[in-house]
Amino acid sequence: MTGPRWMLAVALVVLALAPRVDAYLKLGVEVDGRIISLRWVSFPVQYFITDRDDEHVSAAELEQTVRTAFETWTSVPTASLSASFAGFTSAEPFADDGLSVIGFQSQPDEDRTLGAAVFEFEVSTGRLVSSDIFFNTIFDWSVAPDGQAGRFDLESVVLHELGHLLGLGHSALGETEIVGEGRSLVGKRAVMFPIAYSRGSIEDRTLEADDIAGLGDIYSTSDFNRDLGAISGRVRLGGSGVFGAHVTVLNIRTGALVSGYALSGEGEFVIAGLEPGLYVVRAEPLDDVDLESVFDEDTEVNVDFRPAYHPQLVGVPAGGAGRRIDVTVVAK
Amino acid sequence: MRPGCRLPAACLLATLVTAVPAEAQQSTRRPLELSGGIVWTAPRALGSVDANLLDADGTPVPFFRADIEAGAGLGLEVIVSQAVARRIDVELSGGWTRFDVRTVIRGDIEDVPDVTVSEALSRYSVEGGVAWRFAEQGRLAWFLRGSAGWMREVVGDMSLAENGLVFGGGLGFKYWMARRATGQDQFGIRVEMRVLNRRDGIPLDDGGFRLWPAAAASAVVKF
Repeated sequence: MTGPRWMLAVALVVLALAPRVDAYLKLGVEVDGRIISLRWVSFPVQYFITDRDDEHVSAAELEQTVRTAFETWTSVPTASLSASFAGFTSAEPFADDGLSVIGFQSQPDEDRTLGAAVFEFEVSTGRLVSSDIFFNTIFDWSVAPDGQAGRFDLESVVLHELGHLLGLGHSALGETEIVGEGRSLVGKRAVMFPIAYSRGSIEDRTLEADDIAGLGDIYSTSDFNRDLGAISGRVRLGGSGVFGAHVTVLNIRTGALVSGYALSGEGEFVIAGLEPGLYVVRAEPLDDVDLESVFDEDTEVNVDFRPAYHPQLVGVPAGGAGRRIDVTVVAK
Repeated sequence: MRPGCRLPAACLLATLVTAVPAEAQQSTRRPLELSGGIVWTAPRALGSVDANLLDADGTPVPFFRADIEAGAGLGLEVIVSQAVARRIDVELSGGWTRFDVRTVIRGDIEDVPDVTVSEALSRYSVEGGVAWRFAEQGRLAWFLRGSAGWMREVVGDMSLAENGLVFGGGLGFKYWMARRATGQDQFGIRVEMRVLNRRDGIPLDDGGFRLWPAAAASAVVKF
């Protein structure tokens, strides 16, 4: 089936600069030629819940679901952050009120959007000021512990949108097939993949290694910096860098998969938050998600090459990065 | 136990009686041996890792599969051996072995042809051990050996290094090719078959118990 997508929207209230994805999973904005990551600097993150029920889920159940999902994110041991419920409100998500408001809304025009997040942030620092999230009531929602056939699992979608609220962009760690005008999800290994599981599934209630690495990269603890490492390098095609190439690494002991993007004209990438060990590195074109779910619409991304593996295992030390590697790909 | 002995107590007594004069004939100073040679470790499968995506039911969707193995290794070692009893030696050894860790990538979800990715790995070790010379006939001395020690494994490009423990057991022989005028062995060769077990170090497998076959050959000098 073709799955609805999460839409990631960013409100630019301070200065109209085009937002873009920095590093691999982090949201960022370009200021004076520099990429600044969006992040909260004051904790706990205070959020309100709109006092409006959905047909199947009450506002109180939404509050409990958001609380659970926040606990999932804040329990990541290599990230330091916290959040607290500030109360119910009559305020609407996406209102320009400086509050972080999460609630149900009916958006019939967005008939392929389960939920979306918007931000208010300081352009000069990337400091997040507020973030709103809505969940589209044109879909049937469920908070049943084991999921419910025919309805989308609210906790799964809340967990994804809270990832955006915390500064994460979309991961491309998944596989899709084109079906009609949409995409059919074959499989994924990141809550932050932009396409949701089908109705009834609760698989997105659990963070994956990719999500955990991304969050730790933004809100890193001393443990993150001391105990984990990174892989950096370039994706090259005919001697030139490949902007937008999707790079996935596999820990050969744990099987953990973490991915990132080549984000410069030289095809440079950095994937952090990796357990020390040996890794397989694979590069592929960014063709399993819609490009606009990751990059600006006007960003030119090269997808005209074949997936390839780096011919060497790559060592990742604790607290640093191994040698820089070049992953060479060939055109289709 | 000597051939023909039927009563254990009598045989033990005979052994003690004959052993004391023999040892007394030799120097009271126990000999020190120095060995130096090569070590070979056999290729070893280290298991497989499935890089899986998950579908809506949580069923794995193979992304690709990685079959991991350690290639044959070659290295050098030095052993200092000191006799502490007539048939018992304590040993201190230091060694270096280099081998490739190879990962065969199969079943890529986008049909990338199977490919082998690899990296060289060096293992440095310092071990203490005990050898029991259980049979000595003329120039030939058979021994059993057990050892344990510290190791450091380093990826070929020095990007990653981890410490660990290494344990070993072996069966081997020394063949003395030259003797001093005093009759004491002077120079020979040492050949040994071993099994090794490693703990910690660079994470190469699932951490399960694995034995690595190995062999060593060295020249040995007795002082």
